[in-house]
Amino acid sequence: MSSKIISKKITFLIMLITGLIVLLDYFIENPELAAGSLFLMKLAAILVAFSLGVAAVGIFRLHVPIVLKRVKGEWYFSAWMLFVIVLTTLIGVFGGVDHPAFQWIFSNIFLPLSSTMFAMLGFFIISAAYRAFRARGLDATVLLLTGVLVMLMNMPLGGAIWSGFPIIGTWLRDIPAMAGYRGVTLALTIGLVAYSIRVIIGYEKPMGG
Amino acid sequence: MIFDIGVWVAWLFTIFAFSAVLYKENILFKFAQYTFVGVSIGYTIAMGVKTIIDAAWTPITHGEHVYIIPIILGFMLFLRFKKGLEIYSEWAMAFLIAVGAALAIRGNVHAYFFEQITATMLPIVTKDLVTSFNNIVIIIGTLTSMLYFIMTREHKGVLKYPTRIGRIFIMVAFGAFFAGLIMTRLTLIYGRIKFILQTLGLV
Amino acid sequence: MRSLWEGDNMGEGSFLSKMLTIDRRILYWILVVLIVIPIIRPIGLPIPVSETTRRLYDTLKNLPEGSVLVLDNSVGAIAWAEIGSALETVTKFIASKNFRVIIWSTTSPECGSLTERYLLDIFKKAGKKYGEDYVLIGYVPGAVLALAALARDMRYPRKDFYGNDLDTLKIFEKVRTANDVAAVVLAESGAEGYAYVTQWYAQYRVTILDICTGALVSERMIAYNAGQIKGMVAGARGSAEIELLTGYLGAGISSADALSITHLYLIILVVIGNIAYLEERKVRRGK
Repeated sequence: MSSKIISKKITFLIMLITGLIVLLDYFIENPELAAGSLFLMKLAAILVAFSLGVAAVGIFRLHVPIVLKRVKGEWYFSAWMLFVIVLTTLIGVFGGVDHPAFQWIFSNIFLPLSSTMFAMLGFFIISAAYRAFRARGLDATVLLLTGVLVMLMNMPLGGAIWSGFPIIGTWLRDIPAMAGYRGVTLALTIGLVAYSIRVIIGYEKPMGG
Repeated sequence: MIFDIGVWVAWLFTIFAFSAVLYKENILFKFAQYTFVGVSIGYTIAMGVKTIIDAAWTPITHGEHVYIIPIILGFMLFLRFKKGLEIYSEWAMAFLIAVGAALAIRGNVHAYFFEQITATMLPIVTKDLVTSFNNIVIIIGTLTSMLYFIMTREHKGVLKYPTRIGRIFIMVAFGAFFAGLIMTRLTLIYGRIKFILQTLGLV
Repeated sequence: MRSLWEGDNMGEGSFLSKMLTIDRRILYWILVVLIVIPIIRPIGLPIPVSETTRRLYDTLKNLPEGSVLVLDNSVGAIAWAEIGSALETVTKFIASKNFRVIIWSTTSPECGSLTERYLLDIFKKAGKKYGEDYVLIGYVPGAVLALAALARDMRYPRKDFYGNDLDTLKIFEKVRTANDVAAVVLAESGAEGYAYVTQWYAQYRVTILDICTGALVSERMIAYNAGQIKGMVAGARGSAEIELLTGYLGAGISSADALSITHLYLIILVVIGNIAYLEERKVRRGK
């Protein structure tokens, strides 16, 4: 048997045993099973921390060649970005996450830029709503009307214009919209649970191969 | 007017970012964009390293040597970048995926299946007409919108009208979601504009 | 009489086609001006308090003295402008009571920095002692995975945001698992509510109080309706409401006027766009 096939079988065994331990822990009260399950959860959470580094390596693999090849119009931006990554990481790791310099970078660069980048989406929604939000058929009309009525509920001015708007908007959000979401959630949950079971028993190969 | 260099750095970056939308995409916006990505990644990595040191390395130094396993597996994740050794990174990923899948089953079956069904089992005849009407709407809405996701049969015959009704309920849900999204995005713009004005001392 | 739409066609140069093809930057600048007006000249419209916000407030108010609360600050920089003020207000209310508070986030790396900048002073001003009455653990990566582990062992991150060993902190003397927690006050902009309901409520029946962005309200309604979430502050509107209820007025109230004007602007744009669309359809059918 080739080493690749053996490796794949080991991957399958890891998923099966790990998944079964964590799953059975929910149904069987056993101290060893509970301890094993807890250790696996902590292990997985620590692996998530490592995966942040994997993502960063991916960024470096993408941008370092751009800098080395001096790609026109791009390389200085990439170089600046890589420099900022390294600087911020070094300050955070060696100075500590509560270091004043690290907090300064957070408060004066990360926080405002993060807020502003997401705020920009608001502008795009305005132009999209103006140009594309059309009552083209029954479905779109229902969506549009519901959106408008719930917006009128969300804004204090809506209640000042007519006292019925908050009542209608609240009813729409809390009853039919909630029912629609619940149906979607139930369907999604069935799909998610089925997929998760298939992953644990090896019928699905989330990593390919 | 505020006299703090940090606040003015924040103010400048805000203006640079907004310039792409309120004027046109330009070099200042790109500079802000790349700075944002750089700081985000650096910040997240620093937090991740702290977690690894606190949750994995510290227990090892206190004699809990079993925590060497997540550290080894964590470094194995990086093998995906080495040709010929990618398969070993899958062993580490397997733990992550399996625990996630098992937790999804554990939590979702109880909270998002049984309890949601229980919450839908409502009395349709009550003392209050409004409550009865609301309960009927919830039951019909939940059932029909769930029916819409039956993909194993065509939505014809007995499924035709219930799935149509279900689609309407789903559109209502999306409309409510859209209204909430609008509130979120517009408030973010408000926050940034208020910051710009406050820094200039206009508010 | 000549039609407002300049004749029978929707050709180029007609008023309607000009309206639909207006430079989007004009729309954006109008929005900016409309936001600036209420900042400089507040209107001060009344804000009725919704049932969801009232229930969050009542639930917090009725928690027994000495209760242990988890304050999950997963707002992040992206949503601080919307619900940050609500979290500050709720924190002020919590700090005025005799609760013990553990602060973390399993999805937002900014938790530690944001909490330090905006929330810790609230506890200090209320005379609370760090390590005894409140502790900042910060970011614990892992989302659902981390939450599941924390529910079984709340000390697994080992150290707090400042590097102090959790075992040495007095607040953790009798706190080990989710069973020791009376309530979770969650401020979220993503999937944290879903994670808490599946991992903390489903197994441990911990009371969950949710401060969420407007985009999440509809989704969280199903959990609220099923009793899994006991109270909810919904977006910017909810932020204003909780400030009114607690008496700690702040950015939430001041954003309410801008909320009204900008929403009205968007509704007007949508109406204009649809009138134009219907006219266009009429003209096409006429041809």
